[in-house]
Amino acid sequence: MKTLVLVVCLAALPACASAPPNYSAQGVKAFNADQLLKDIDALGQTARNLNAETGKLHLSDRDTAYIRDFSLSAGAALQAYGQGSGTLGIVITAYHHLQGQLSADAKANDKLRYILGVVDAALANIPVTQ
Amino acid sequence: MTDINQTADTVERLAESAIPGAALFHPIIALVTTAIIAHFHATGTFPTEAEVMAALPADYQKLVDGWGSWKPSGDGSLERPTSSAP
Repeated sequence: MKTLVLVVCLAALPACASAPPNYSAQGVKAFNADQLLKDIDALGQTARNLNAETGKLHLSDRDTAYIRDFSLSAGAALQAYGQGSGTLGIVITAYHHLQGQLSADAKANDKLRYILGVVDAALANIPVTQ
Repeated sequence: MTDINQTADTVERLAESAIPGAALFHPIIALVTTAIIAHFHATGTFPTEAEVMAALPADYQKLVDGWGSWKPSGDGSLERPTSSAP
């Protein structure tokens, strides 16, 4: 079942960043920024839900705070990017920094790993030249 | 006239916020909503650039509000010093 969900998720990932063909370059940037923002918001929702869990799936307050800090700074950067200022590089750097901060327990958390993979793929879907 | 794209986006957001764990299935939800959007794109009702531009600050505000309501579980991990090990 897990494998099936993973396959479906991977097949669906391109759907997260398919900009309409008739947008201007700035419109495509705004569209991509908004799609990524939604994925980062989903990461935040998942982190908060896991933080409220008890037992094996619990995400520590510290790891959740790291995700909060990343989400808020990346969100602000994406808003600026979508409005024509700033670059995606800040978001990519912040995301790599987050990956270095997360504890081994967080990285081993299956549910968190799935949603981190979604953000990973969404970042990879946006052309670097933008 | 109802904006179907906004409706699909609202459905996606509601499902993800109302159903615990639904955010994990964002790609599937996105696939369904994107299929709906694609259908209406074919019928000429895709959102304008202005609508996309307007959605960005609203989605950012939603993200900020979500974190504003977060209450740490109190597991003590915020009080512990961070490890300096590589």
